[in-house]
Amino acid sequence: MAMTAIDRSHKVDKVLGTITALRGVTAAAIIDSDGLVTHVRRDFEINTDALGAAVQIAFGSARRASDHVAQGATHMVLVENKDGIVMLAPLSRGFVLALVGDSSAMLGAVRFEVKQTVPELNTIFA
Amino acid sequence: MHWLESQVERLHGLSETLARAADCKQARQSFREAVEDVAAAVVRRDGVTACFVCHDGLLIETAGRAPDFEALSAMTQHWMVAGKEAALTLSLGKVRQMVIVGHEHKLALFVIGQLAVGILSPSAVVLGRALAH
Repeated sequence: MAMTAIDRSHKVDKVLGTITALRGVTAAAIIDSDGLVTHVRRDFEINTDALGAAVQIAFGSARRASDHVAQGATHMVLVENKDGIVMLAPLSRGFVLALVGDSSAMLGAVRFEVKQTVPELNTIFA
Repeated sequence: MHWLESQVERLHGLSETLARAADCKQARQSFREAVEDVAAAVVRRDGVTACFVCHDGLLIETAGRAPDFEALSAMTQHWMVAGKEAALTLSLGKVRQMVIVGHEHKLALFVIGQLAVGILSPSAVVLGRALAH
């Protein structure tokens, strides 16, 4: 039986909840191809409009950079900042998973979880 | 059974369960929690300086004190690649452990599925004895 929109939304929220339970991860969001945030879980106030637009710009730039150096599809974008990290991973149908972590986030743990979570989210969005 | 051996076997079992699991999320959480518990328990042993867990050269968990955990995890990836190549060439089978002994410190590395667990100690420490019980 096809998943209803409510089922899909509930599953996505659950996945984002698992991700934000990781140490140091302060926000997780799904952004659509137009840069709109469709789902978000966060520990702090965040301008979701700005986040969505920034994510799609950043991811688009990374993808073009990869094209320029002929390295194929972009699987992950990592931005390491003074006070934490931002990690982006493409999903099916132009969606992007975005994570924000503070300085206590373990990069390897977050990346490992994202790699396992992307197929799960792609199944939900299929 | 040797304490560390039993912990490593348990982690291997959980890693295999994760690989086969229908409900990956629960299996992954169990595996991650078990790995974190082992790292914390290992570092409490006399003679152990630090313990870390990494994946693809990036840190997943740290315990104890080391001058540079990030360097340890990055170099672990180097050693793993070299070790795997050597093991393949020499038909040793899958790499499970490596020990690198320096003049001052030593590093024992255990491969558990997609993760590596590293245990750092002064060279003089006999890790087999320190982690036996």
